[in-house]
Amino acid sequence: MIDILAFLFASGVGFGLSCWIFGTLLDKSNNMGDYKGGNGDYNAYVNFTARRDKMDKSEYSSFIYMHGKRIDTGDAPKGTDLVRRLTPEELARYKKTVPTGEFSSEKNGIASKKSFVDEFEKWEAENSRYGDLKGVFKPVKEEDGDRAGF
Amino acid sequence: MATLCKNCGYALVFDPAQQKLVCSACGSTFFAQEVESEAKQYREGLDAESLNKINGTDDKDLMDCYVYSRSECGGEIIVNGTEASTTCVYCGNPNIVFSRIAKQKCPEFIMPFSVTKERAIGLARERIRRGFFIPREIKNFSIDCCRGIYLPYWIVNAEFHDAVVIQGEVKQGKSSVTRYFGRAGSMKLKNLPLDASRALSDESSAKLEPFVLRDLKTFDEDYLAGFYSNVSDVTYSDISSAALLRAQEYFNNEALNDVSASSKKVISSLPSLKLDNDMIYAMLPAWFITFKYKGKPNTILVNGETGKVVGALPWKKPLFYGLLIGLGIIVTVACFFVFRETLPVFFSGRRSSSSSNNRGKLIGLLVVGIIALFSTGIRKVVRVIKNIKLTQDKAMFNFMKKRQG
Repeated sequence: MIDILAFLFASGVGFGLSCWIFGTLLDKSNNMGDYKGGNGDYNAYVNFTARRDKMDKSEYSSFIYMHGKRIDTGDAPKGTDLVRRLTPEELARYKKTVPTGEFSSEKNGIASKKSFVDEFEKWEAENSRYGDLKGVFKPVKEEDGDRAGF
Repeated sequence: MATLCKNCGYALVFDPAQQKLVCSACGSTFFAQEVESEAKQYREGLDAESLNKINGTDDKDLMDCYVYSRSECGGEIIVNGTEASTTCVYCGNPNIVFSRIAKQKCPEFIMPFSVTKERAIGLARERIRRGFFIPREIKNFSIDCCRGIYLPYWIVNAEFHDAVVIQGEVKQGKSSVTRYFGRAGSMKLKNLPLDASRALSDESSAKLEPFVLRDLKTFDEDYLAGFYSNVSDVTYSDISSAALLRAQEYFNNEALNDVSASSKKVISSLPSLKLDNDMIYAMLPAWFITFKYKGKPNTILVNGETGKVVGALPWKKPLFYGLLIGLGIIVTVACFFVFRETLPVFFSGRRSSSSSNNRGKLIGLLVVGIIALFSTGIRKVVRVIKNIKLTQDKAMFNFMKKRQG
């Protein structure tokens, strides 16, 4: 009996360990570049608004309905429309509805956060010689200014 | 249309090593921003003929291609509905379909190739050579085709809210019980690049990340010279679904990290996402290298900016399974003697309730450990198999291969 039990445990540990070692080695050897940008790359940090620990099964569905919320996507384009750049008119209209703060640099058109005040109009005037709004970055909605763009 | 050298009239090609346009005939070099060719003025003026129109059919099963006549050599180039630049099969010169990058269709930014073709192949070879389980035929692969393609991306900002329930095991006294944890919150995604080409799978293109978006340049069509490129053909719904998936992944990661329990998993959620309408259209570079192994095409991707190599390759199965079983037997034999000696001592101890509890815990721990070893190992092998399927995916192969030149 002890021998059978010892064999079962031994084969479990032996083949389990072997499976783990060679699975890891195979992954390292044959699977190249299998990762993508993480939370930090896109400033994707969660601001938790509700936390409930150790709930019963009966409690958890109510949590979802109490704290889940649908973001209003009323002004979103139709899902079947091809994605496109906004026209200068649309951009100007859109810009009025969104607080500003992030904009492209004149030098190479790359966004860099410079201040939290509305400088969009100043920037737009400076860049008007380009003829269009090439390189316009969406003005930032959030007030948290530390999370700079790229 | 091609951008021609102002000194000799030969077609210019963008050289990633010099970050300049180079004339292969007279050796002149120009910065893309400096080139003021007549071609740029024709951006909007080119008319294309659709092959479906020529053949008088609207059959959706047929691929609609467009025929352009080249002003330089008179040859015809054929591109599908989303290609923005290609190579002429007659004279080998680069061609840019200006009508596809005109006005609002024009990308705002471009990340010029900084990895040359030779470097991309070198990086792929170097990485493949290091693979212990990669067959020798693959290590010495002969390239079937290597193409530099600018992939269209929409760089988006989004607002995301989710409420999730996480199931996990927590200790209660001497045993562990299943408990549920609720987490709700919001998140903003900034400058998330999403692949805007339907022909290329999102899973493959996401692995090319991260791109250093700080190095983006204002779009200039001259960067396309010598490379292939595609324009965006995705809908808002495609982009929205892709962003939602990524946002959920990030949210779930943070929510799981926020919970103190074992065996955690998200079992219920109510996600909601809103994309900012003002998205940034950019072209990002990638090298596609294909070779055949046992009759199947394998496509390795190399990030044209960072040189990251992406792809999974078949392995030497006899070597892998031989080593796995061999090591398994050796460890089993060693453990068998250890367990045969220790188990009798273990079971012959005093039969008090506390000692039998400890025995139970130890055996439970051993069983859980064995299951964890097997499941982690198997999960890794399954991941490799899944990624091999992506590398051998015919859609990706066709995306790269079915181009002129």
